[in-house]
Amino acid sequence: MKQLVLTALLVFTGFTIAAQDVANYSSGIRLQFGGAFPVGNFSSDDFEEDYPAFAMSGPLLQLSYNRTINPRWAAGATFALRRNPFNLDKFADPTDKLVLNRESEPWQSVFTLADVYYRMQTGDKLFYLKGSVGAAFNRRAKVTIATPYGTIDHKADRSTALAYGLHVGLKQNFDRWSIGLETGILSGKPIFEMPDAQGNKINYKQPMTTVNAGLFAAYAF
Amino acid sequence: MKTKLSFLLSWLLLFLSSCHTQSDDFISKYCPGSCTVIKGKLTTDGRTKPLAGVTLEVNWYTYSSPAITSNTRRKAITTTDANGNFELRFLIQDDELPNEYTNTSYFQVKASADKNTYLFCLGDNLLLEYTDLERNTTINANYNLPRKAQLVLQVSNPQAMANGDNIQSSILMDAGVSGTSYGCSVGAYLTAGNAQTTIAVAANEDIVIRSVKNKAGSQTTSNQTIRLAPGQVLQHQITF
Repeated sequence: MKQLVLTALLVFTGFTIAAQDVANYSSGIRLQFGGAFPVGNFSSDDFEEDYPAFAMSGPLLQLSYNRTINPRWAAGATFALRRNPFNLDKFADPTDKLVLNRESEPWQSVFTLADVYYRMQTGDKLFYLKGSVGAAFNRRAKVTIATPYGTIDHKADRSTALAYGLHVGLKQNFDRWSIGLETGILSGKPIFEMPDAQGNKINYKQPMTTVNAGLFAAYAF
Repeated sequence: MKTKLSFLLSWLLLFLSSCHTQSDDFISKYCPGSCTVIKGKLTTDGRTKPLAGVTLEVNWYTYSSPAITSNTRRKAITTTDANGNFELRFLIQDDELPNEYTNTSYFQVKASADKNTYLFCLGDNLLLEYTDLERNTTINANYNLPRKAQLVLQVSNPQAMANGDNIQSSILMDAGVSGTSYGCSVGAYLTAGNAQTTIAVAANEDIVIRSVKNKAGSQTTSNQTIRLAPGQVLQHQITF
């Protein structure tokens, strides 16, 4: 990730192409890829919690559309896919004699967000602040641990919840094309269902907050 | 020089061998089968009032000697419900089963309740201790955790005590698992030179002060039942 960011900075400072003002174009689409780093309760492996999330860093892919309202403001929409693997090694040490087999599927969120941009343009560079709100279709991590005494089976429950994000970004324009980097947070608090030791179903809220950083390529039209 | 080197090496060995490890056993926490279950109801005030929202935790401890190494493994955790009910369910691993070295390993159930408010008869937030737990076992443990008061025992006439005379007092309280009368007993030894002592006792329930007076080789026993309010400090005089 560090190498990617440094490369992007080099690209920013290395290009000498005179770019046209992005304001010449009213719309844009962009594809962004980066990392999503769980924070707070989402990264917890606390024994005292009923169901700690054990989420680890994973990829975040975003496809966005935006339309200029005026030179300062723009609005748009984002479709995003975030996957955060479950920290299986922390949950069940592979050297543990009780572990016969273990597997997991990552936490997953698909976001559909409405975005509002506040933009500041200086020459061919654009700095922006982006606020987002929408829905996240979340899936709990699936965990299966087989032991000689039975199997721990945490199923992949699904839950839709309100999601929001706040990001800042910097974009370098090259006529219709531009590249940039963005960082911020994406968060939501879905309610998942889990059976307790007696088999009763329990609902619990799982904060799913990540700090994100990524690079994007955009096309204006 | 040789002596200094030996001394240094001894300290180095001691330092390297003195380590404590702590781990969380999540497989045990989400016990998949053959579980050991400790369940019951946690109460106070003479088993009349349920204690809700108290976190209970099972830990397995082991230590080895002469190398001073120890290991704590968290096995299960739960919180009492509105009626004080709890259930701790966990899976015992092979190295935690009773063996010939059982006296170097044991299970403890600890409670998060404030030890300044509640009387832990076994000490430091400790409710229960086991050295011989097995798999596929259910233990019922309805537990009374009394609130705390202070009893100041005083000999009213220490000048009457000769050399060798004493009073051995036991405070008998209903604390701990039900089914045993006076599950908690705390002792005090009073002499002419040590005629006063303060003891933490159970509040809001009857407690018995059993005093055995040893005077010139003869014994007399007396029992007195009293009840203290939580936080109360009561001076109780015993006449020799």
